[in-house]
Amino acid sequence: MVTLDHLRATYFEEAAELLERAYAELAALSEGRAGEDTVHALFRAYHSIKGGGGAFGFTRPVGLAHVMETLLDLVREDRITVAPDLLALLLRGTDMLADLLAAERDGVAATPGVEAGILDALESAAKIDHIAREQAAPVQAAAAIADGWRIEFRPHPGLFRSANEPLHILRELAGLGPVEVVADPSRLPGINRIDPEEAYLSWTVTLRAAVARAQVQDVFEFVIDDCDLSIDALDDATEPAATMAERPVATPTAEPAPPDIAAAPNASPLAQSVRVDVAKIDRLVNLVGELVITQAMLAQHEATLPPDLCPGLTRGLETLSQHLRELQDGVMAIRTQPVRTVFSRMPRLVREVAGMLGKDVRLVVTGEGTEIDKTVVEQLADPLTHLLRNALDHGIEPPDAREALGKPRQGIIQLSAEQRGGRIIIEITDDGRGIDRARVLARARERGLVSAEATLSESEIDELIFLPGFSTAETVSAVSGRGVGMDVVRRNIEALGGRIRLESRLGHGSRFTLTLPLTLAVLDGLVVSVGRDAYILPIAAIVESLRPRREDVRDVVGHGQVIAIRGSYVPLVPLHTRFGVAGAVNDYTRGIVVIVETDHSGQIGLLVDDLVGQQQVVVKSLEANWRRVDGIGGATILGDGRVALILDVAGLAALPAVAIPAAPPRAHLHLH
Amino acid sequence: MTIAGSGHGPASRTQLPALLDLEAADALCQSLREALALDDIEFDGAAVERVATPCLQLLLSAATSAAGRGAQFRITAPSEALCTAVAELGLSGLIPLER
Amino acid sequence: MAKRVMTVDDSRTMREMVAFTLRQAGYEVSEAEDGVKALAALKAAPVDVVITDLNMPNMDGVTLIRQLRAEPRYRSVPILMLTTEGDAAKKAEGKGAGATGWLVKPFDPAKLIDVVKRVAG
Repeated sequence: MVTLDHLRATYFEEAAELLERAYAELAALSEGRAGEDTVHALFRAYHSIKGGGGAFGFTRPVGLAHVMETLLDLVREDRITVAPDLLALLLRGTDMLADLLAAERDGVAATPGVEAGILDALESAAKIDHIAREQAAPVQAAAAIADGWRIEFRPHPGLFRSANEPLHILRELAGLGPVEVVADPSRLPGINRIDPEEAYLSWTVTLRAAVARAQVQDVFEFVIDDCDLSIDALDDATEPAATMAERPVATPTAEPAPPDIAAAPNASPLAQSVRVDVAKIDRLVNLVGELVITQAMLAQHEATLPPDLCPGLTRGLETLSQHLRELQDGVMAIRTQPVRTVFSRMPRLVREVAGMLGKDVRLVVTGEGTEIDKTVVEQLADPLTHLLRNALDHGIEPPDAREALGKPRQGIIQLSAEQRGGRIIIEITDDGRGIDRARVLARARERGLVSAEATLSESEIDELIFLPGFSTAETVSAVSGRGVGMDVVRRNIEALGGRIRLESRLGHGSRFTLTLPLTLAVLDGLVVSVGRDAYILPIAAIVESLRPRREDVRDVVGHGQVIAIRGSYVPLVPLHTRFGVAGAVNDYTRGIVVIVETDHSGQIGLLVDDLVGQQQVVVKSLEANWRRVDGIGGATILGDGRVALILDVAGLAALPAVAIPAAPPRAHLHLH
Repeated sequence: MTIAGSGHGPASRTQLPALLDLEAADALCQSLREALALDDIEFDGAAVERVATPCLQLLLSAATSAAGRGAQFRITAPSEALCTAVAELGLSGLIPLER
Repeated sequence: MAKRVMTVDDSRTMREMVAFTLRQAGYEVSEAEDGVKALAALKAAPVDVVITDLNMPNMDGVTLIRQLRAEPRYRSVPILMLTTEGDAAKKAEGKGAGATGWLVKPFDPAKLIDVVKRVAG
């Protein structure tokens, strides 16, 4: 059942969409991409925000939306032209509208009068002293109450053309009190001359009820222009001359039967889209996950059968597996959302921050339509905000400095999204000063993050800014110096199963590349065995696997073992010691080393007993089912019903090289 | 609507349709003109479910025209909906309903 | 039988408010987000009352009213326009196209029910 809370929620959701739309249309206007419908769409956005908001009594956003709507209406009628200052004003107005709406949504009162300045500016742009706040012309007589009323109702011939029906009007009058209805057929032509669709009859109604004149007038609200109407108080009305048809009619007192409440509601043949609770989708995702597991189990049983025993079964299982893949893709697609929802917040951020910093910056956004898991979209806002602030604060130079460097005064920040294979790539590129590696290295040494004698490659130096405790800002500014460093950004991105990379050229700018999984719920994994346990390695992280020779592995004092691969050394991490697994292969020449790529620790080699196979697994949260374990990203259920832990390679690389005693007790771990 | 009946003798008698709304007005007007050209008219109003003012105007116009020519115009067995509408529009004395 | 109402508005909030209010009053309500979709649906399945916004993409309210009035089956179906105060010219245009009545946004739910009852009988 729809409730008022639900309606409110719908309103705020829709208002957010409308604001996004408004920003997009304003951007189109400012970039000269305006189409035929741009101004109309803008108008409708403010119009709808106003219309819905009024119903909830949100007077302040409604007031502002009203002024903006009026202004757009003038633009629409070519009475005002769109100049840059008008656009800036509309942007500010839209920002303010967003704030006022947010205040209403969160139930906090916006600072009184905070919108006064922008209202004044908008009103003067519209060249109006006061936006006409429609006041119903006070009809003094409207409030008058009499003992009763004599109503003369003489429809014009065209009354029926608007589907107005005297029967309904007289019925509504009868609802106010006892009535006597007298019809006047004097204008009615004979049957051979009558126009069947014109109105000829008129009526005199005597209403014996002490109601206000306004109530009587209301009944005729829609036909007032289509009839002659007089409403006179009964006491000063002369007794009507007996008309030819004077014959009071006892009006049926029974109200027309109300529409049948039991009848099926909501029958809408039109629904192009439905709104579904995310919890319901997640349940579906889970169920599909269970299906995938069951299918894997069946496949495993089937594999143990003699090959030709039942060819039909084999074929059926193949088809099932294929359909399941499609079903899974379909269900996952329900969870996806365009990144637009988070991208659309960024232009305002850039505007405001650039304003604070006195910088001139244009944000170019592309690929807003790229779809990604809803959860990922929601969690992108913070990292993106941080990266953009960073680019504005540390990347883009002030206009004068840019000019001195021979760059255009206006800096450009590009924010783009695209899908490449099973991953989503988001890039934030600026044409600012780039990373000053000498300074970064000096800072890192100063902070003791790097030893004085270490020599680092360019990319290794770039990596330094992601270290906890690193901050290059000379002064902690109000913009990026919020105590949140790049390390937090990296952690957030990694928590989403993503990676972040930095490329930079001194004097030319920087580019941050975020690589994110399409979905958090399913993972392509490599199943490896360690002792009697199975672990899953994300395929995306795997570089290669090999069986080391004795001479490839060396002990490094204080750092455990490393493995030599084509001239470089990669730390070796035996999983069985890391997780305290008994009965695993201890001799690396008898096991397999899987080389995985981590973002900030380069490559590491994981020693496992054997490779079992590649499969798609359904990710279950370990935290939700047990507790958080470092180096473990989640868990899944294998085809044979065993629980397997999904390795978090970044976490593994960061761990100290000692056994973790608290590996989850499998017997007690029930995933659901 | 077709009118069954002969030129003389018993009144032509026909059934009023269930819907007497604006869309039905044109057809009703034609039927009434044809019927009136013949003889006395008797309508069976039992089936009427919905009535609108345009059709009641026509019935009243036909009744008046018939009276002018000295012919009979009757509506027999009027449905509840028809009776109510006629009363609500103040036409009870003008459109002859025979219950 | 419950009377059928269609609400046509590009604002989901508005549609849901109208639908919510009228369903509570026992009406059967369907929704459409613009004139084009409304027209198609109305031709496929008739309703007893149409409530339409005037400002909509694809096909605006006035055009919808005009098109509906051109359909024999919709000549006498009441059509209500949802307007805002500033919309006097639009309202007149809608009236000229054959709108039965109007409702000023934001509307009071009781007023909506009254008005629908007034035009639908």
